[in-house]
Amino acid sequence: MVGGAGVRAGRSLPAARFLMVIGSLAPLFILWAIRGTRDVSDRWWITGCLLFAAVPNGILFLRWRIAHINNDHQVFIAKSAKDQSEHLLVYLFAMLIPLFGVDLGGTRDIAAVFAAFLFIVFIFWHMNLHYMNVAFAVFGYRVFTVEAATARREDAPTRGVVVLSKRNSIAAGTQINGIRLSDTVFVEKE
Amino acid sequence: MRDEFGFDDIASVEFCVSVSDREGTNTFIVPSQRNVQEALREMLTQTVHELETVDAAVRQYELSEEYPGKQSLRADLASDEMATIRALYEEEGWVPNPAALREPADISHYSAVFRDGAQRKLVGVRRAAQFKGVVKSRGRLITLVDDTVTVVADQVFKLDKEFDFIVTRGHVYILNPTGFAGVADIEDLALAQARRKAMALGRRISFVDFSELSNFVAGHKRAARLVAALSARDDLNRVERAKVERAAAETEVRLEPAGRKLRPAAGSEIGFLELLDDRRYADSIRSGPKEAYVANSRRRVRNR
Repeated sequence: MVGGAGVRAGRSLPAARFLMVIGSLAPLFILWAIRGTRDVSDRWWITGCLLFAAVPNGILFLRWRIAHINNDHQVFIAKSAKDQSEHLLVYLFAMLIPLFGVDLGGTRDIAAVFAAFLFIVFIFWHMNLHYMNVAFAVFGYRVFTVEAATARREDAPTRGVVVLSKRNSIAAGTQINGIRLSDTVFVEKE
Repeated sequence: MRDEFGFDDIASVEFCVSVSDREGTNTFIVPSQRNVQEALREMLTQTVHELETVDAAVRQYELSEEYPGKQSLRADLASDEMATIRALYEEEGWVPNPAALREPADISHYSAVFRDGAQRKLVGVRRAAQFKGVVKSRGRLITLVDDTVTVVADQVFKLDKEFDFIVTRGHVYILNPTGFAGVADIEDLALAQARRKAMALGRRISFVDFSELSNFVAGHKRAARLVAALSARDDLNRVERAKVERAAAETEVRLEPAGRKLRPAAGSEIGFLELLDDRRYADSIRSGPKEAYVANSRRRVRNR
């Protein structure tokens, strides 16, 4: 039975999920690094931005590698699946572009943008949107939201998970063996 | 068993624990490393080896039988009494919860879900008695470090040597009937269906009136198990009235007329069901008064 399990089951790997969210904002840090700001010298600003872009993504791939080495996996039977690659577009237009458009001229501007940035990170972390990472697309992975069966019965409830896969589509009934990046995000084993 | 799963072609192993508390029973997947998965594979190998060697052949599991120690038994997963095991087998997509191991007293059983290259599934289940016992002994376990021993500081979870039972798509293979009964809710399921099954027996053994007996079995666990075992038998059409009356007289089962039919007298209900299930018999090789016996555990000499 999985019903009610969510009440007791903790959302594990919170730090990894947090870093994955920050890693998903790497394009913004790269754009900010290119753009620069008047109140912070380029040496510190560019170094900071590149570290924010590189370190969380490095940890994401470390997590991926550890999960792969440990064979930390779970098998799902898809009841339905939807290609959510267009979420990346929404993400780019709804978040990256407005944040990039903000004036970073003064210290208070930077503080305001940083506060907005923290709000966004928290919301992404809380809503398990840490799979929004352009790097996955770069490596050829599509993002699917999968309604996974919790039992082999037609009337059984489903559990929503995100599967990164190189397939073009996932048909109902497909059995997917996924490496666990977090409790809700899995990379299909090849 | 070997044709129901590819034991040499296992593609994935998932480790699950079932936690029981006031809210009910929930099963979680516990993320595990390769060495744990390898240990679970070894448990499966050992279980299959024991199932194939503990007995000359796999026997049909009977609810009315009392099984001592290890056995090699098989039950049909589709039968009514296997409803809990069927639900356990059908479970998928568990929520990951490493914290499930933090409350070992609440763990009722643990299981490993194996899938082969043909996407066939097999579940091995073990009651968590030893699992809990080792956890309770925290701080007293020692381990060899270099050439000295030291106390294990952290919680230690010890996997067993074999599963109590394994479940394939069609069958349940039982190595440890006691552990199996602890997980399968057999008695509760048998009780829930006892009245209906007893009435159905009345249609198969036409000279017995089961109407009063059906009320009795609905409130008596041993009787309910006997009724479930009788329902699974395919030889009830060969039960003869005269032979039943004679055997009842020899084994101290009191019968009384119910119209043109028979029924057990009050106090003889269990004895009557045991008689029908070939568990009550009289000594027939000695001179003098016959002694009556009850066989809670018996085995057919030769399978026909």
